Formats: sequence, C-alpha cells, structure tokens
Amino acid sequence: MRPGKHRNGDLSVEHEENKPYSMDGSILQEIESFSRKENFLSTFDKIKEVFPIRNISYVFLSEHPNIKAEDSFISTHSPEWQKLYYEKNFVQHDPAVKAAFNSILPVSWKDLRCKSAKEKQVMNLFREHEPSSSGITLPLRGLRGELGILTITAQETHLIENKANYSRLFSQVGTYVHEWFARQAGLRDEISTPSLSSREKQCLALYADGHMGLKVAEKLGVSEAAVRLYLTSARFKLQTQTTCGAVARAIRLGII
Amino acid sequence: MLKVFTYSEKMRNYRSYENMVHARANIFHKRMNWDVVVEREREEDDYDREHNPLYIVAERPDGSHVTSMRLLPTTGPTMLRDIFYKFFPGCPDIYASNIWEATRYCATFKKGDSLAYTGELFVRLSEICLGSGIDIVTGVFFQSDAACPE
Repeated sequence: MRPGKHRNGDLSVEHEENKPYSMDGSILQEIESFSRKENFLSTFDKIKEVFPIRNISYVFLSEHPNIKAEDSFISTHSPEWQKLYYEKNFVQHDPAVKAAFNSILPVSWKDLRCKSAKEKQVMNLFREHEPSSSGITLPLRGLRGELGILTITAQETHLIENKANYSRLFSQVGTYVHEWFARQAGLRDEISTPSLSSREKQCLALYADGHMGLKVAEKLGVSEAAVRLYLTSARFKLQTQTTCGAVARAIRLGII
Repeated sequence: MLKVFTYSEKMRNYRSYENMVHARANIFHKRMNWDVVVEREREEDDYDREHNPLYIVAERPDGSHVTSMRLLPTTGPTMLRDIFYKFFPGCPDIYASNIWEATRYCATFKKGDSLAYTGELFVRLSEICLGSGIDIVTGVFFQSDAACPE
C-alpha cells in the first residue's frame, strides 16, 4: 500500500491512481459524437496504443427488428477473419459468444469448455488466426436489458494477470459502445439516458472546491461510502475514469 | 457449501435454485408481506427471468437453503432505478458498469446454524467483485427481524 493513499480517507483513489489502466478521457468522450460504427475502429486503435491488447470486438446480441446482423458488430480483427466469421456464421457456434449468454461476469477464454465439434472448430481456427492469444468475454447489459458482448484478445498470461483491471476498463468502454448501438437503432429516448443527480453534482462541486473524501461526506451529511458511490456513478456518466476528469468535464459542460 | 450460478445455469443447479425461490417466497411473501408474486410457493420475478442475474447461495451440508442474494449490473434494469427510486426522495440514479446491485438478500436460519454462512456468502461476493473489476455493490436493506430471525 502506498503511503498517503488513505490520507484523505478516499478509497476510490486506489484504482484511479492505477496509472497503467487509465487513458486519455477524450478517447471515451468522443464516442457520443460518432455517426457511424466504423468510427469505433479509431477508438479501439487508440486503446491498443495504450494497452498490449491485440483485438477488440463488439456485437449487439439481443435480437431486434431495427438491428440488421451486418450492422450489429464492429471489430479490429483482420478483414479475412471477419469475412470467414461472418460468412460461416461462427457467432452461432463461438464459445466466447455463448459465454455472454450464460455468464453475467467477465469470462476468461482459458475457462471456456467447447461442447461441440463446431465450437472446437471455431476456437481452433481462432488460434490459427491469432497464435498464442487468449481472450476475455465481457457480457454487457443495456439500459433496457439488451445483451451485448465485448471481447478483447491478448497474450494469455498478460490477460490472466490483468483480468480484474481489464474487466473494469472494458466493461466501461463496452457499455458506451453498447448504448451507442442501442441509440443508433432507435431504442433510446432522452429520458432513458441517466443524467447526474443532485448528490452527484454536489460531490463533484465540493471536489472542485478542493475537498476530498471524508470532508465531502461531512459537508453533505452522508457516509464516505455514499460519497464513493456517487463519485463512481458520476465518473461513469461523464465518461471518465478519474474524479479529476469528472470534475473537469462537469465544469466544461456547465453542470457544476 | 456455496453455489454461484446465473439464471441460465439454473438447470445445472436445479435444487439450489428451487430451494432459493421457495425461501424467497417464505421470507418476502409470508413473513414480510411484500408485494411479490408467488406461484406454487416460488417467488421469481422478471429480473430473474429476463436479465440473467448471478446468484450466490449458501447451503447446509444437506443442500437446504441458508442464505442467498441476487446480483445485477447497474448498467441494465435494476430495482433501485425501477422500483425503490420512488421511495427515497433525492435518490441518486446509480449507473456504472463497476457498480452492481444486490437484491433479494434473504436468510432462513434455523436454531443452531452457524453465522459463518453469512460470512462465507459475503467473502465470496468480495472475491467475485475483486476478480471482475466490480468496485461497489449497492442494495436496499430493510431492517427487519423477519429477514434474519436469528
């Protein structure tokens, strides 16, 4: 434990200061302005510059008449692999995709069991296509319960060592991508997009004034755990990973 | 013995799941008189059926239910946003992929049961969260003797 970490009594500092897992806030914030799904390829490329991730793929899994199969995914995998995957309809037999239907927690591909010959075939072809890679499946839940999936691939030991931190980061990234696809398909209205509630704004405003943790809790008459909860929620809604980033964004947007 | 499974994995954990929904019917309907739908002495709702939640269930060595809870990410439909929200003025709209909601926490302790069952349940909850990048678990807990008679 680093000295001074709990000086302000703020445990949320812990992963915020975990530098290797934070990145430029603009990478996440520009998602809102995207007009076509191909824009995500630049987001994924920027993420790959920060982390040793090999490929990132997203699929909107819930069936909906507004979403055609060819518009339901985006991936950094090579065009050859994507063509093969799409034409052979691998999505039906991919154990990494099936995991998103069964699990609700992130799943390491090393823990996947191929139950059919077809599933084994998909996994074997993936290994040929991307040797020595493994992956993590992140099941995603949209505001109305829509199911989505984000997968990341990287060198296996690297993924095992970083599973919790990558799960946190890519569940966040994946949720933004998922909500973008839901919005594009006309499945959202303004009411369903969560906005900052007064408690979250109050916390951010007090942080902007230079107060932290315990002090903020005292001023608002709530527990420190409640302050952590509000700030975690506020960071997510403002598409940032850090409280500093959330405060800066809230000021820029004129929210506080 | 602890069981961890999702709704879509319930057939492989059939007895644990059935014991849990029976326990929920007993606690939330009979003892606490909540407005929950009970059919054939089972309490199951749309969060179970539609959103594939994660369950953590602590059982006695004979497989009977002691204590359990249900978990869902707050990026999807949650009871906090859909139901509890209106009971708490100024309730913040909690929404983040690293915040999950715990609901239907119930316990059916018998005389002589070790409180360690509760401890085990929360230890497993912590392990799951630490391993999956979940930083906060939120829930509405009612102070009631009926929820935990011991």
